[in-house]
Amino acid sequence: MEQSEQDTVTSYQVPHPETRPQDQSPSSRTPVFDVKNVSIYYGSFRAVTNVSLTIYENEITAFIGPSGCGKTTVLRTLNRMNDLVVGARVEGEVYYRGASLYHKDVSPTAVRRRIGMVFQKPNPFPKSIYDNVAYGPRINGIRNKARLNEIVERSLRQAALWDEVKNRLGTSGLSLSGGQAQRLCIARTLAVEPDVVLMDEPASALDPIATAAIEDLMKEIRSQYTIVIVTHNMQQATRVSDRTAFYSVLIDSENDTRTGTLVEYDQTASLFENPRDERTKAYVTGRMG
Amino acid sequence: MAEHRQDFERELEGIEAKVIELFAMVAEDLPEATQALLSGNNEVVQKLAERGQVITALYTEIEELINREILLQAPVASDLRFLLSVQRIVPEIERSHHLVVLIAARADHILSEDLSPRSRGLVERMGKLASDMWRQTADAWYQRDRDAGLVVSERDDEMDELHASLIAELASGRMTLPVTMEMTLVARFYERLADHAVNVARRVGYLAGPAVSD
Amino acid sequence: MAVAQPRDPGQPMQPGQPAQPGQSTPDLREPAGWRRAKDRIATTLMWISFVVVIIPLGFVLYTVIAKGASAIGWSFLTSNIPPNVVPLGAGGMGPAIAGTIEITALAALMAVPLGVLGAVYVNEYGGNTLLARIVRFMADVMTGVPSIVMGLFIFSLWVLHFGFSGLAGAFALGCLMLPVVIRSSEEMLKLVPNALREGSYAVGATKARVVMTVVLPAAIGGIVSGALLAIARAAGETAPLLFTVLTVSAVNWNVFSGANTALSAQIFVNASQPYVGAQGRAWGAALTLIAIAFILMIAARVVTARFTRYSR
Repeated sequence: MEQSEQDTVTSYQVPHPETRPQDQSPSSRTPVFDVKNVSIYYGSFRAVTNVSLTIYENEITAFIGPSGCGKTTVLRTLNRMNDLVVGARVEGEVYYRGASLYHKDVSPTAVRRRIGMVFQKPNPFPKSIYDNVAYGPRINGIRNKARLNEIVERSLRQAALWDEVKNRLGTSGLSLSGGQAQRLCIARTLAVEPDVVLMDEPASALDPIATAAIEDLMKEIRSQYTIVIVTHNMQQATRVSDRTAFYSVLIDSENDTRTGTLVEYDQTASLFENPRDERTKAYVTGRMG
Repeated sequence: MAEHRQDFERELEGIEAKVIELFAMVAEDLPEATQALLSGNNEVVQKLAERGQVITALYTEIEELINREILLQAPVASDLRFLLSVQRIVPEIERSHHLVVLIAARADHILSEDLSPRSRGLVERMGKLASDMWRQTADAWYQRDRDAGLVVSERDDEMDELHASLIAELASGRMTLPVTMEMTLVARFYERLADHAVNVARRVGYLAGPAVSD
Repeated sequence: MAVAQPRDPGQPMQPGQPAQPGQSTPDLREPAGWRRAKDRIATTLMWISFVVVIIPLGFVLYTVIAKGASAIGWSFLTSNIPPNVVPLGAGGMGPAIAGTIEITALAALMAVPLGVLGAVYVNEYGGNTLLARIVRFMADVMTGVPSIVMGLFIFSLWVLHFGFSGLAGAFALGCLMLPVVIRSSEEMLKLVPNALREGSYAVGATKARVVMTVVLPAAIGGIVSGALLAIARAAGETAPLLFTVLTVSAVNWNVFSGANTALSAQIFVNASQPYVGAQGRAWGAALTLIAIAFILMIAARVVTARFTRYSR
């Protein structure tokens, strides 16, 4: 039974917290991606409309939103993976450290060497673990065995997988468990020393402990890379990301089309504590998609 | 040692350290305040007032930390119970220290000679009891002792008796009116300190969770 | 029938007893009636079909082995082809074996790389373009062309101008093999999950690199075994060789000029002879051909196993 809280002598006042203290995660504010008014089309179908945001160096930026909102489409636009889809077209500007990604002289392979990607379902090659990690460096011309060994070890250590596989580098990459396979794919991506790592729902196919391992990994490598992650797990977004972008779906009932768009983009704590847009609030509180 | 979420662990440990600090300040300052009151030493008040400001700052810090951890880490189980318990006891601790400061401040208004021996004796006992109860509560928190609420609650009965005796002594009119009025407040302060200790001790029960049956 | 009941907390589980009094344990057997009968009929039909298929296969194998085994011997495998009257024991099928091997090897050398590259084009580069669709269509059509027509085609195109040769036979067999290799390789390439291609693109590989270093290695097991099967089939073709290779009785090591012969053709020629010797040699040749096909099948298995050792 609660005792009375009244202090009878002086009127008691709850100490007033200062207006929002300084951000705990120091953001280095060097922009890495500048997305300006981007719309993405597949043929004549407009999949995403009017996306503008800036992604900063050494931060983890999360894209969240309901299915069909375009978050994966926008992610794949950042390293020109959408080129692989027949009929995909990007309007607007995407700048990577000041250079236009969709300029006609730009080589997509050069882009992808700098901006790597990890996929939702782990996709190790049917090669040995060593060959999986050494694949990227090899196609970039590195042949020296000693150097390759060094790169493979470094990448597997960064991916927190070295200790588990160091004695069986010759075994097939497909023999690993889901969490290990995903870390192998991350090691493969890190082996080419990219600048940016894009992750498309990297842990959605994994169990909670494997997910925690991937999240720890992301936080570890954040200081050396810039990471953009698409996730449908909002707690994951709050646990790891510095900034969050919320996408939603615009429904055009006349033409019966659904187009994705960016609704709100803010520092993670702000977006989840005090979302500015009603749609953001409805989504993060789970009221509506 | 946790394999994952170690930075979250560190944040929680940080909060725990701050809570222990708060407990320590109350536990140290309470006997000093009693001493100051009974000896008429009013230098202590300044020091205790400064401590009060430290506590206010710490309270604010802890509250912000809890807001952030609950928002960003989606805590469950003992993590959640810990954060919620901290959120509930920190105001009580802050208020209790405020009471301690008020007790010490009475030294300005009373000369120790003005007190009757009986009232002096009772105040001493109340002071000691309150100190004991707070030390017990702090230990219970540190050890996550789920039975603390019961134990401290029993001692509160003792405090209520002492409080009643002191009020009776004051009512007998042996001291001057101003002194009587001040001492009435002091009696109230000690009684309130005991209540806060009981509240906090009860929270430890929630934090510790139900007993695990074999 | 004992059935696991939901555990009532506090009460020990008793097999065969319902959780609540008054309820009987459910009978989970398939209810008697049309459904059960259908299942049994289908199973029986399946077994009958299996037996029906096995019997002729086994019969053929048994007959060939029984009748051909007596002919086999080292001299049989290496001696020249004697005139038909000569009894079994003298002479052999040496030239035919050499011819089969030469001609089939040359055909494979032409058809397999062409077929694999064609499949790579169609699946990886062509997509849905007109050319890719034409290639696919033509490959499908060509698999249906009768082998004798192929032989006639090469006869009129090549043999009439350049004469009989192992090369002409290789052309004919190659034309038969090509569409099969294209289609089977294409199927194998299609089976390579797109996720692998994406994984390769994502580390900055060009399209050619993706195909050479990830897609082909992933499909190679299936491609090779498909090619070996096509080769094994081609080795057994008779009709196209009749018009392109003619026949010889001594080994002709020069594939590019001069008539040649092959096991399949020799079987055809010898089996229709009235002489026992010739017939015996025909059976021997048949057994040899089956043995060669068998060896190729095993090679296909071994190769597939080796190439797919990283797939598990």
